[in-house]
Amino acid sequence: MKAALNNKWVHRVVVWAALLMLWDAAAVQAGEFYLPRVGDVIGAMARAFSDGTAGTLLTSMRQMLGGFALAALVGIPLGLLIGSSWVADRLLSVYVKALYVTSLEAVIPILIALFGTRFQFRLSVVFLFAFTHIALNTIAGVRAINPTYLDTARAFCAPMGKRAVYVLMPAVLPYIMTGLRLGLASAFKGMIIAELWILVDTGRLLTDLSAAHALPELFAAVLLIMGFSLLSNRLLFAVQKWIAPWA
Amino acid sequence: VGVVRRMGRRTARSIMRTGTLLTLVSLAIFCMGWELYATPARSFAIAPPSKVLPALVEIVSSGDVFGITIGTLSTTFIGFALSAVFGVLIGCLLGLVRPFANAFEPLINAFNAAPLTAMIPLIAVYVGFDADGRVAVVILWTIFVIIVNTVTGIRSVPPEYINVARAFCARPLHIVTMVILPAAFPHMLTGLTLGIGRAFRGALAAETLLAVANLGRYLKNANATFDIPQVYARTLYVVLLGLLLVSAAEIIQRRLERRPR
Repeated sequence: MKAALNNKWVHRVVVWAALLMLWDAAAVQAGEFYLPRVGDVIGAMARAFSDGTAGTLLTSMRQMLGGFALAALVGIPLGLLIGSSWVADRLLSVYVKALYVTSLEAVIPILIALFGTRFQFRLSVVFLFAFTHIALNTIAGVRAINPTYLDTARAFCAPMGKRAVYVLMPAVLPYIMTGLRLGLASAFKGMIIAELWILVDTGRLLTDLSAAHALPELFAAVLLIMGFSLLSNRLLFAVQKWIAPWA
Repeated sequence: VGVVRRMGRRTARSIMRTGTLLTLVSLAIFCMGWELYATPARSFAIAPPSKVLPALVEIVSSGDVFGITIGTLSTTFIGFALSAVFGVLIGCLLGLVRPFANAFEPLINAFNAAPLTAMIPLIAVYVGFDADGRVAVVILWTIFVIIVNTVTGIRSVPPEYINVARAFCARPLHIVTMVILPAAFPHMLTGLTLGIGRAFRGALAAETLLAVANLGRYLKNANATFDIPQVYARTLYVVLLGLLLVSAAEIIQRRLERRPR
């Protein structure tokens, strides 16, 4: 009994069930016009997979993955370069840092001026949102290598390629994966902001549901987006544990 | 780094100077390249720095934007203040009361990582298009990072501190107020500094996507002017404003950390 009272899952189930019941009670009290009931939201979520809502989300996410992949393709090599070369650090890291502190919401008008509302616009927004996380974490990973390891490898005359594969890579990989996870979470934010700005796909869907006051469907869509984002994060975390179990 | 250490202090200083020089050279090349690329009107969407900077000076010196700047900043600060108070409070509860943490921490972490931008249309349903809604967005953007950092701070208090206080028969309330909270203070400050940057971004997101107003409207209308240097200058103005805010917060953070308690 005492063990059950201290178990964290007991706490969770009790409190989460209470929260859901509280929501439902509030929904009954306030009326469906103001707050949808829990069952209706769950129903709308189930329907989302047949009425095209999930399809719209997946279309957005496919586009987002393009920008994210680009950010990884640029961010990881750039991070490795800046982290390992002093000259590259001095020449390039100022731009990465500048991007990191920039309020990216404010840059969108420039991107619209450059790309209009074409595919490149969404690509560039997602790229900017994800890129700095990936590059900065890669840099941090290279910097965090214990120099003794590299010295030891050098002392045993390990060639450059072997040093890169057996010393550098295992040390940096966990940092890169962390950067990718943060970058992906940020990419989701960028995707939604870009689509809300120009009203396409998911952004259009959310805005239409909001204007039509379709509350169960709106709650379901928002929860699905957040769910997809968290799920992809867990997925990357599992990949990280699988390819870099030592960190 | 190893190279620097070997070369002695004087060389190290000259290398530092070369480093700054390299950064400056890189920036100069970047600006020159941008200028050269943009000048022959190759693309009408790229404005050269020589046209953007005068437009920026014009924006600042004319003073037309100060009113809307204050509007945006007040949304930012109201949302930030509410987030700071409730964020630290909730963070302390989570850090100190185990069952509370068990139940709510997964939810807080989920909200901290989730794309809350998707909630803007949802907020629009409830709070309408007035200032309350914008403050709600700012709070949503800011509070979770403050909570998470406060919890981290409380969890990272070395247990020896608490054991020593217990050994001297300190009362639980005194342990919390005189040992745990002061020790957790630097982490809380980090959360607040991160929070102010997020609050500004939240205010911008709300003012462009929830209810068009203040600097958000200013940015959003930039494209309608078809004056490309103006688009760049307005963005630059807002970005620099955000930078100023974050730098000021960092300076205050450093001051407070250094102050003896």
